[in-house]
Amino acid sequence: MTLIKFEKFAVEFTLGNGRQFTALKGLDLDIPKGQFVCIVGKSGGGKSTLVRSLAGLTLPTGGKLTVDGQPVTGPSRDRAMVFQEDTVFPWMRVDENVGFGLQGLLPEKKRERIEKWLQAVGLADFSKAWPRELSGGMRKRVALATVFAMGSPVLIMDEPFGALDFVTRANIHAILLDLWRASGTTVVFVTHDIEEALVLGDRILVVSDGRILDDLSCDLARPRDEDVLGSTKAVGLRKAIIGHLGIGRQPMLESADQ
Amino acid sequence: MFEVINRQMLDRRRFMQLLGGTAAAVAMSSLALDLAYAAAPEIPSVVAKTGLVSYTNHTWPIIGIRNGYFEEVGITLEPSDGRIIFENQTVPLLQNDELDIATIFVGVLTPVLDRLKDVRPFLIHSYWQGNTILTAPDNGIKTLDDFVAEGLSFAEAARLTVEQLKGEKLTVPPTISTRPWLEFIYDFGGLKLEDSELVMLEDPNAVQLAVSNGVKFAAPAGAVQIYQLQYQANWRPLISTRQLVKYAGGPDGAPVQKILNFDGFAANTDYINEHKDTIHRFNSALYRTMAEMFGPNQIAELEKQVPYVNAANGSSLDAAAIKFIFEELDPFFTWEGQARVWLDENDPLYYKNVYSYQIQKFMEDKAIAEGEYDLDELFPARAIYLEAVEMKKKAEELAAKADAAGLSEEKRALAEAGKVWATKYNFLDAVRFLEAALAD
Amino acid sequence: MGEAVADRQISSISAPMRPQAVALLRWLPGLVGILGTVAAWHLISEARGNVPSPEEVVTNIWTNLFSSDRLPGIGLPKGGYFPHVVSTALNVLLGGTVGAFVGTISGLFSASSQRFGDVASPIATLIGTVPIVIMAPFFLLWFGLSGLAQFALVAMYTATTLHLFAKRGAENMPKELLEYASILGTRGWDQFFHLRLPGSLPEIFGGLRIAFAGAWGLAAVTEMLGAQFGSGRVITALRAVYDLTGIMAVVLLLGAMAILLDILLLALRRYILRWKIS
Repeated sequence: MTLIKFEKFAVEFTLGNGRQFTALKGLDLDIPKGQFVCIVGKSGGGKSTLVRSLAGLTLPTGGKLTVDGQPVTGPSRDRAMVFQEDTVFPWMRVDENVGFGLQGLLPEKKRERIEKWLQAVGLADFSKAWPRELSGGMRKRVALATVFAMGSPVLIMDEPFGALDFVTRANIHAILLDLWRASGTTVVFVTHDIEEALVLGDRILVVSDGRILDDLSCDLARPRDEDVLGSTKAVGLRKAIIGHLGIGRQPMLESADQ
Repeated sequence: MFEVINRQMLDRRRFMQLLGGTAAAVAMSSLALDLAYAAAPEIPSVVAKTGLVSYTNHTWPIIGIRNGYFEEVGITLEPSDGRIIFENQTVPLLQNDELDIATIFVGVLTPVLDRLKDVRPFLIHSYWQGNTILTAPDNGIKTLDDFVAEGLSFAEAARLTVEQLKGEKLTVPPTISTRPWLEFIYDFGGLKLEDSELVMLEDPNAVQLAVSNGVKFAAPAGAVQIYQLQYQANWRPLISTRQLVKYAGGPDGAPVQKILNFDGFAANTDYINEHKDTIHRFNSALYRTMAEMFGPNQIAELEKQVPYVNAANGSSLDAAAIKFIFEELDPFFTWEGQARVWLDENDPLYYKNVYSYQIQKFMEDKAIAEGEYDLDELFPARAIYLEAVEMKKKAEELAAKADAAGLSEEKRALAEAGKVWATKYNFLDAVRFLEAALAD
Repeated sequence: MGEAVADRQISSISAPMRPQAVALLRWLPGLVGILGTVAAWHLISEARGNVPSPEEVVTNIWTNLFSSDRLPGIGLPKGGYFPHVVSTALNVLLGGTVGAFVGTISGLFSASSQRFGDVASPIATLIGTVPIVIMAPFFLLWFGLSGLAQFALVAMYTATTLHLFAKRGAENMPKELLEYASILGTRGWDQFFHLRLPGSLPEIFGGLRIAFAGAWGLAAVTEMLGAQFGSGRVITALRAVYDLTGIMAVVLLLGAMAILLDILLLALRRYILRWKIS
């Protein structure tokens, strides 16, 4: 069942010098419920504009965007977002951060939900800590707990783990996938890291120059260990993506031993 | 300190101007005049950083500046019209040598007599009898004049007048120089100063507050502000020294003399001791100015002060207003009047008669330490005046000798120059020129 | 065995300092600074005859703090310096607090609303640049001698300072935090109280310290215009009798009060910004 639908979706910006820049050019895209979609592409290709539009932070200049049949007109708790930048509120303790999106809930229910999701991300012992006392990876886990605690049907992630080291990133991938499976949330995940896309996504969109160049099904077996990522299918996916992105051209300079 | 910029300011042109239209000069040959000039004693050219407090009776030297009297005796003021200062700036500016000379209200020295010993007046030029408490028009308050007009005795009228100040706000200047006068006045009503709410404000701010009905009573320190309130804003004198003199008998034998205060010119004591000659020449320019201010062309001379005092105070006085101030509020001691201050022990304005009471009062209030205070130490002006008197006498003797001596032409020219200096109150150079004329 | 030895060696190298030693080390530079200043002051007073020495000033404070025979003699009410310094402190605290409140709200609003900011910010800048000695006589005329003039002047200048600092604090908030907050369902007043205000507190505290430090001088200057009580009143009376020792004594007392208030502000800052300060 289609949850997210882009129809001839276009976004144009007016630059400082008065020129028009088209970030997204009449894009058509359907995303079914529960799918984990990764978006890869070069910088400036339109990936962030696409997900910010989905989050309601950027409004279109043409076309339509609906989520569960409703047009997107602005930010909403139904479309939670995790940013690349650290968005944990420094002046709130961990539990207050997680509970910030739970206004309207009874205090007892709120506390239950906070404890549940902190447990899920492995931060139950840090509920009263200040964000400054946590590492970068731990703060990302707080952000995950916050958005999953809200129970949003759509989760948008814009290069959320770009600043983390390899090991921390791998750990947090595992946590994210666990949370996704447990909640059934539809995830739209932007990354510039092809390997990350292969680890996480059911589907990989290659976006460049405001268009979707390719829509690749990534039905590799889970969990995606080294064997799976080294399989012929994975290699083929990798090559396809690289091909679209124009990486792997002839070297500019002759090598020394020629 | 005084800065000497040229040894000799008396060039030939000035020498000729000095002799002016004297009969001797008219009759003399050019050669004789040249020889006389060559033999003339030097008059050094000095620069004096001078400050004038913005009061009317402190800014009058501008008349002498405009008339060139200071320049004639070799003194260049810096800035050329004097620097306008506040009353409480006089002492600090003299102490740190930012000024060489400044006008001074002696009332700022007496409350600190035990601590401040390096700034002293070298000339006293006027006395202040203008202390006034003024009250707003149409506020139902009765003045001393009103009570006396109802037929009450002075004592009763004064008591009722002063009692109206109880619990009221009264603006006073930030200096405590007016305290003895205020305490004297409050005594008439059996009150202490604490019975009123004293509001310390500089005079211009006090006037602004008064005319905007911010207070009912004001006692500014300056004649300009008293004149502004009384004669321009129609405030009424509640009680004043003038009224006391009028109703309680004049200064002669009355206690009112105890609440008078002198104004003068002051310098650092080191300077006074090291530059006596320049002080005498400076004073001569001042005496000369005073003679013109109270002479036959009084209004024309006072007109020269009008723009200066108005610019300094933001006031709109005219020459007639200044004349009034100098007659009613700040009477002057010209050269002839100096004897009242320094010599005549029976005169109520004799310096000891004026200041002994005030100093005693400050000791009782613990404003100054108990002790014996030598008023001659406070007033080097007395010694300087006595020196000038001696020099005048000597000049007269030398002039008589020169007339009888049968001098050569050029010597006669020098003697004439000496006599001219004497007419300009410059007795120092009168003696020097006459001595040069009589020298072999 | 080898591990135990290694553990002991490690613990002896990196033994933590006792809390008392840490506290002393933190205060030591300030103490050295104060002692150095006093020493320099003493040397200057020895070299120049017209500078009272630290000993003379301290003696003057000791003699005149709670009662004084001298002060009534120069036109001041009975009692020593203390009631006057307290009066100035009250002016600073009340005027400063009201001004800080008004300025903070206005600064935060200016960051949230372009229209409000376009109106309020130029006014704050203009008022803040007018020297207090120019404004003070006007306040005297408008508010009279009731003491309201002093309060109003301190409040006004504190408000302009806090307006600028609060506005800057709110404007420097990362855009992503605001977007994130709106995604989490926060709008309007909720954003103001949960985001802009707490997020601007570090800048606001910076502005508070600066504003209150300056407020002492402002309060004293306004008291020189007709106040019955206050350090400015005392300084005016002492200046009239060229009592430099007394003036420095009052200034030192004001400085001590200012330091005390700053210490309290720092303590408050440590508590409120405990999320930022370890």
